Amino acid sequence: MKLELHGLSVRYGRGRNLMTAVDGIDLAVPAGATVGLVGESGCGKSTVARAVVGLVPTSGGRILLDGVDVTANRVRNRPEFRRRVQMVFQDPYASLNPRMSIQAILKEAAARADGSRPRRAPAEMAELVGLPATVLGRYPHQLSGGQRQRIAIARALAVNPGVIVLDEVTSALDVSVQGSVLNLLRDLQREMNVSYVFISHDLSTVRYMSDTVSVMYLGRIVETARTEDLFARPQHPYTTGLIDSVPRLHAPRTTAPLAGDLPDPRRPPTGCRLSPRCPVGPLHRPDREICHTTDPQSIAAQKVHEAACHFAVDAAHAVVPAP
Amino acid sequence: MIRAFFRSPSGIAGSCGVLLILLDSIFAPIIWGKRAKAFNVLQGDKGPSGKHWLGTDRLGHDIFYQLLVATRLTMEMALGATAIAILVGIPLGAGAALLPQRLRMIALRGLDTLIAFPSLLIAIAFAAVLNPGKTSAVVGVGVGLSFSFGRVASSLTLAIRDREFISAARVVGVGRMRLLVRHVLPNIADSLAIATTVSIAASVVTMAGLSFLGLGVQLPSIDWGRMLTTGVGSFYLTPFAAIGPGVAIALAALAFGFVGEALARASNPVLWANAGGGTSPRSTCDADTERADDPHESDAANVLEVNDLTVSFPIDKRREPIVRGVALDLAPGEMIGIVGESGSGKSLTAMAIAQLIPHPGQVGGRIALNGKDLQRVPLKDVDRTLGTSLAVVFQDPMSSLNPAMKIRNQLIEGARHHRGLSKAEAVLAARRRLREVNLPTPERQLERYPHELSGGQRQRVLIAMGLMNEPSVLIADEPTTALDVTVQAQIMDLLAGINAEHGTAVILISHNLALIAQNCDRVLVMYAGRVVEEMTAEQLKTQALHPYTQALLGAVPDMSQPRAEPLVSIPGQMPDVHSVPAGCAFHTRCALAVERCSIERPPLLLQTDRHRVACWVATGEPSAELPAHASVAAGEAS
Repeated sequence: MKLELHGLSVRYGRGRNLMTAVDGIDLAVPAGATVGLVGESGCGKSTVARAVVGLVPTSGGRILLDGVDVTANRVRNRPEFRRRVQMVFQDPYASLNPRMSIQAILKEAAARADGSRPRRAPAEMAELVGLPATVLGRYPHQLSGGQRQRIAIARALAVNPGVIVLDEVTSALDVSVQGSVLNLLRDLQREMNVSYVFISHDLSTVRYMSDTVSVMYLGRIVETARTEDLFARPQHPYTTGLIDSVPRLHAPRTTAPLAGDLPDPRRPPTGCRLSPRCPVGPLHRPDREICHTTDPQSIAAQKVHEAACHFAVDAAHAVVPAP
Repeated sequence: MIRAFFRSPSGIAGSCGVLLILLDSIFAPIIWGKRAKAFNVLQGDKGPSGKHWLGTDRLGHDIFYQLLVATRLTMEMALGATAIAILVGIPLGAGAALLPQRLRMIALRGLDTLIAFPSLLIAIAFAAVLNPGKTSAVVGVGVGLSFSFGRVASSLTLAIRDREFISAARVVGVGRMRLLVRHVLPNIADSLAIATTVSIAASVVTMAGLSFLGLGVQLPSIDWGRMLTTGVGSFYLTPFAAIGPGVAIALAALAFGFVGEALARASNPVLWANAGGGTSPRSTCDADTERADDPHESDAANVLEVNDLTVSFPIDKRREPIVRGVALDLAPGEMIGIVGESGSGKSLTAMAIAQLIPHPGQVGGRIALNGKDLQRVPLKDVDRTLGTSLAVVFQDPMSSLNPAMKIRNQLIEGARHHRGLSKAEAVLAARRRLREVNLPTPERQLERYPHELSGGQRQRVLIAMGLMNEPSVLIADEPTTALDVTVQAQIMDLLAGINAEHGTAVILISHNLALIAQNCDRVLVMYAGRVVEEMTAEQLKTQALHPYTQALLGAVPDMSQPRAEPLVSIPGQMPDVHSVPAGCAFHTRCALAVERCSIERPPLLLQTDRHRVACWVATGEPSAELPAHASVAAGEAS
C-alpha cells in the first residue's frame, strides 16, 4: 500500500506557546518499501508517526493512501482506515495492556481485521513473529522486552495492514535483542509486502532498514535520498553532521561536527533553521548572510537528491578529524 | 484470579466478615425479628446482663438483637447508596477524562465544583425535596458520593489515558466503549475497588449522621446509625447502647476494606502471576577472584584497583550476588570502558566503587583508590577521600541535579565542604570549571536552575561539578544515552579533553560498543555480573574472542554493516539474578557451547598481551573454530 504525505503540518498550543511540530513535510512510501525518517529528539518525527495513524489531528496538508485522501480526522478514525495503517510503539513495556493476556491482546486486534479474509488465530500470529504458542496464556510482564515487542508487532499485523509506522521500535531493547527484531521486521515485509515508515534517531539502524531516508530538523525535512546515496554523498550539512556524529567501530573519532543544541522549536531561527549551528554557514563563513535571510526549503524540490541548503556541495567536506 | 483472591489473608478475613454480615442481614430479621421488637419499659436502660448481652435501651428493647436485625437495613442502604455512586460516578468521571481536550477541561472543572458540596448537604437537600426517609437518604448519599467517586475515576483515567497501550488499542481500532471497559477500567480497578469499600463505610457513617438529624431512617425502622444516635443520648447510663453499633460499623467497614484490598491484589496479574519460564539450576555463588592467572600484585602506580568485587542484594529472603568477583585496574590518565547489557552489573560495579550502593546491598572485595584501601580508611574520612579523588556522572542529568537549587550552589557545595574554600573562591572555581566544559557565559549559567538548561547543558554542568575537586578518577555511567548523537559527540569531545589535559582517569560505562571502541584504551565486557572478556580497544575491533562479545558486535547495525545481510541474533535473554545458569552463565545462549560449559565456570585467563577471556571453547584448543557471526537467528523464543 502506498502512503503519501503532501505538505503535512501539525501544530500544538496557541498564542505564545504555538509550536509547529511538523512544518509542511512531503513523504512518499511506495508499496512494500521502507522509508526511514531520522532526526534528533524534538525534530517532530514522532509527531509525524502519530499524525499518520490518527492519534494527533493534522493542521495542514494531505495524507493519501493509495491515492485516496484520508486527511480528515473523521476518516482516519474509521475502522477501514485503522485496518490499513498500523503502528508499533517505542516502549513494549508501556504499549501492551498489563491486565490482558497475550491471547486476549492478539484476539482483540484480529477481531478488527477485514472480514473478507480468514482471521488468524492468536497461535498463528505468535508463530509468525517467532514465539511459541505457550506465550499466549501469559501476561505482558512475564515476557522479556524483545518478546513483548514481537507481540506488539503481531498485534499490528493482525488486522492485515498495508502500512506500518515503526516508531523507535528497537531503542528500548537490549543490544543483543535488537538484531533479531530488525531481522524479523525485514522477513515479515518480504512475506507480507507491507510498507514501513521506519522512525529512529539511530542512523545505523535507519541505514540498515530503509530504501530511502528523509532527514528531519526542527519540523522540516532537510534532505531526502536513496539510502546508499544519502550515506555515501550527504548533501545537507545537517545530514553530514549527523552521520559524522555516530560512533563507529572501525573509524577513528572525529570532533563533534555540530555545535550547540536544538533551538526552541516554538521560536525557530530565521532563514535556514540550521544556520546558528551550521559548520558551513555564517557561523564560520561570514559572507554567507543568505543563510540568515532566506529560507532554503524551496530549493529541495528542484533537485533529484533533495537537500534544503544554499551551499549543499560544501557540506560533504566539513569533516574535521579529531586530534 | 479467584484463587489469588482467596490465597491472600485479607481476602479470607474480609470475605468471612462480609459473608457473616450478609447472612446476618438475610436471616436475622426472620429468626430474631420478634425478639428485637419485644420491649419492656420496666427493663429500660439496663446494663449488660446474661439475658441482655449488650443491655437494653430506654424502652427495654434488647440492644444485641436489635443490632443483629438492624444489619439488613443498614447494609441495604449502604450498598444502595454505593451502587448509585458507582453507576453515576464511574461513567461520569472516566467518560469526562476520555473527552476531547476542550470538553474535558469543562467537565472536570464542573466535577470539581460539585465535590465542594459535602454529601451530607446533598442528602439534606434530597430529604427536603423527597420525604425524609430511607429513599431520600439512599439517593442523597449516593449522589453525594458519586461526585467524589467520579473525581477518583477521572484522575485515575487521566493518569493512564495517554499511556501507549491505550494509544495502541485506538490504532488497532478499538471503540470508545470497549476502550473504557477493557483497557481503562481493568487498569484502574484496584483503586476503584478500594474507593468502593471506602464508599460503603462512608455511606454507613453519613446515614448515621442523617438519622441523627432526623432526616434518615424514621422509627420504628432502625439501622445502626439510628441506634448509635439513640445510644449516644444515654451514653453515661448504658454505654453499650452506643458502643455496640459503633463497633458494628467499624467491623463492617474493616471487612469491606479487606475485600477491597484483596480484590485489588487479585485484579493485578503483575502481583500474583509468577514470572514465566522454568528456573535453571542455580550457580554456586563462589566469589573467588576473577583473574585466576595472575594473583593481582599491587601496583602503586594505579589510581584505582578493584579486586574480587561483589555486590549482593537480599531478594526473597536470600542474598543474591549481582556482581560476582570483578577485578579491574586503572592507570593514571587511562580511559577504560565497561560494556554490557542491562542486568550485566556494569552500573552496580561503578556504584560500588563510588560507595553508592544503597542500604540492603552489600559490597565485598577490595577497592583501592590512589593506593588507599577504602575498607581501611576510617569511616569519617571516606567521604573526603571519595569527594576529593573520585567523581561520578550519571545517565540522566535531570534527576542528578536538585531542581530547586541554583547551579551555583550545587557546584560550590562540594568544594566548600571537602576543600574548605571560601564562598568567593568556590564561585571562582565554579566559573572556571563551567568554562572548561564549554558552557557559554558561565556567569549567567551559575544563576540558572536545572530546568532552564537543555539536556546537553545539564550533562556539562554535572561534569563540571565532578571536576570541581580535581578528581583523579571520573566514572561516567552511560553519560550520553539520554542525549542525541550530535550532543553525544560534543560530550565525548569534552571527556576526551579532560582526560588528555588533566590526566583524569575515566571509566566509561556504555552499551554502545562503537562508542567505547572509539574512546577507550581498554574494554571490559560484562555478562551476568562477571567480566567475560578484557582487552584493548584495538583487540575489540578485530580480535574479540568471547562468543558473547562477538555476538554483540554483530547484533547491532554498524554504519559499515552490509545492508543485505541479516544481523546476528542472540537467542534467549540475559538471565536474571535468580536463575544464573551453572557453569558459564552464557552457555544457554551460546552457539558454541559444549558440555563442559554447563558444568564448570571458565576462569578469566590471560591469552595474549593484555587480552583475558573467560571461555572454554574460544580458548581451549587453539584450533577452535570461531565463525565471525556465530549464532543463528533462532529468535528469542524461550
